[in-house]
Amino acid sequence: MSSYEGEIRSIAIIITAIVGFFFLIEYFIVWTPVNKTASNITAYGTVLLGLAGIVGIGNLTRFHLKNIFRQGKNWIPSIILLISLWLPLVLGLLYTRNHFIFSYIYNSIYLPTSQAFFAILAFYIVSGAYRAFKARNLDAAVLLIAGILVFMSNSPATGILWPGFQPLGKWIQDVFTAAGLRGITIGIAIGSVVTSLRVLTGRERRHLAGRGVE
Amino acid sequence: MIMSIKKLMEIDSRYLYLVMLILVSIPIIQPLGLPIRPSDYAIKVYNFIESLPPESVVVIDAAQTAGYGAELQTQYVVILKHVLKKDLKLIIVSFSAEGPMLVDMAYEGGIISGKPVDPAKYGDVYGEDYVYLGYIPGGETAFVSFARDCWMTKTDASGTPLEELPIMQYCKTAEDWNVIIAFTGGNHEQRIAQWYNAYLVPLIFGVPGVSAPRMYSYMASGQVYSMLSSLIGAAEYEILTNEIGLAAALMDVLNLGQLCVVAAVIIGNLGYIVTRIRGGK
Repeated sequence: MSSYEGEIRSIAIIITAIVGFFFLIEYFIVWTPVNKTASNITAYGTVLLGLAGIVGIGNLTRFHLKNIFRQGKNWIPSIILLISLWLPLVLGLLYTRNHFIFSYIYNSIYLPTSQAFFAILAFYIVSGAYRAFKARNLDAAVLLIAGILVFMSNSPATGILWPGFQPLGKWIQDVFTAAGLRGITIGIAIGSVVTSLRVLTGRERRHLAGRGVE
Repeated sequence: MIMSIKKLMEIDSRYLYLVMLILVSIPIIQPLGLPIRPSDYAIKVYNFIESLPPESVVVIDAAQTAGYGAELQTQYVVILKHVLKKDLKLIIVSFSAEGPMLVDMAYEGGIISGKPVDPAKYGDVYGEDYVYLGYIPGGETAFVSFARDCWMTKTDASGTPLEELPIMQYCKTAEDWNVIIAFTGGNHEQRIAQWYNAYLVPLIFGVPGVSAPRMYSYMASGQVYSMLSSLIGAAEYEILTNEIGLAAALMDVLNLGQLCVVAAVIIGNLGYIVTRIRGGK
């Protein structure tokens, strides 16, 4: 790493630390000038994040254009990707989302395709349920029974078979699922706090394309 | 016997797909009208909106996407109808790029939206009773910005300055919100942190089935008031509001699909157990 890159990285770390600690402290302060400044910075942040999208589009376009001109691996899908990216973008910018071609692309191509991908899961689930979801031992049996009960509780028609499915499924979700996920959530939250503090104090630098951590 | 069970266990997946296809196609051709009983969560959401005093500010985060369309869009439509029916001030905003298209679809009707919603039918006037502020990019940063300053967009989705929209006088910051209802498949924790934890605004989620388990611990802690889960949540709400629409119609499909999966698990396990008892592998 050159000294120039090092200086740039140091400046980025200092800006991160100042802005980060400012927001951390501002959360606990009710004082109009400070709160107003924080509001302005978050508004700028929103704009900057929007601009980051443009950078992303630029990079994606450059990468796939190179691939097309070199006729590299999967260069035909690259053409499809660029058309899919730029056609709605240009139409949206020129005519807004109300233009009939834009609406057609969204309602008649994108929407059914997305829906179809999700719907395909139903077929894989039934096949997976038949082949893989077996009570091979006690743990698997408990999981299987709990899974079936929750599944049945989510299907209102099963109430005709036995009205107890819904309360039983709700009990499993409210007690066992909530307890398990609470543990996971607390773990994630502690990890987030630690990572945030490392970023604010400059000990975590990977987001600045740094090679390591201190 | 063992051989026939073995054959059954090794059945080609395509037959299973065919059974599923036939089962989910039946209700589309001939609706069965299987009963739907509203869950406690849907009843809680309904009662909360019913209990809001006139001119309360309801913010809807229309962040639904095409993939979760049938689940979230049906929820959005039925909640939209309920809020429009009441004397409430409705601010709609999208924190997902697809939100604007799906918000439009609710008024125009569509394959995942059902019949068009006409706010005029409920006596609502755009700019006075409801407004759409469009898409705000930026994820969690945008959640914070919008909560601090609801006028951050300067104009509504069609470019009308917010000063010209009387409804916006009711909504300056998150402190003015009486409830926020977010229809989203992700970023739930960020919304909870920036809206409930920071402003104690009652937060209701409309979530796809896969996200529902994440909500239980937040509902137990009171950070999430309640939720509508998946298509069934929308269907339950349609029953509660007596606005029967697409979700209730699609519930037969979901019911038969789920029963097909349960039957597959039971048959698969019976076959496995019988094979084990008879000494097979």
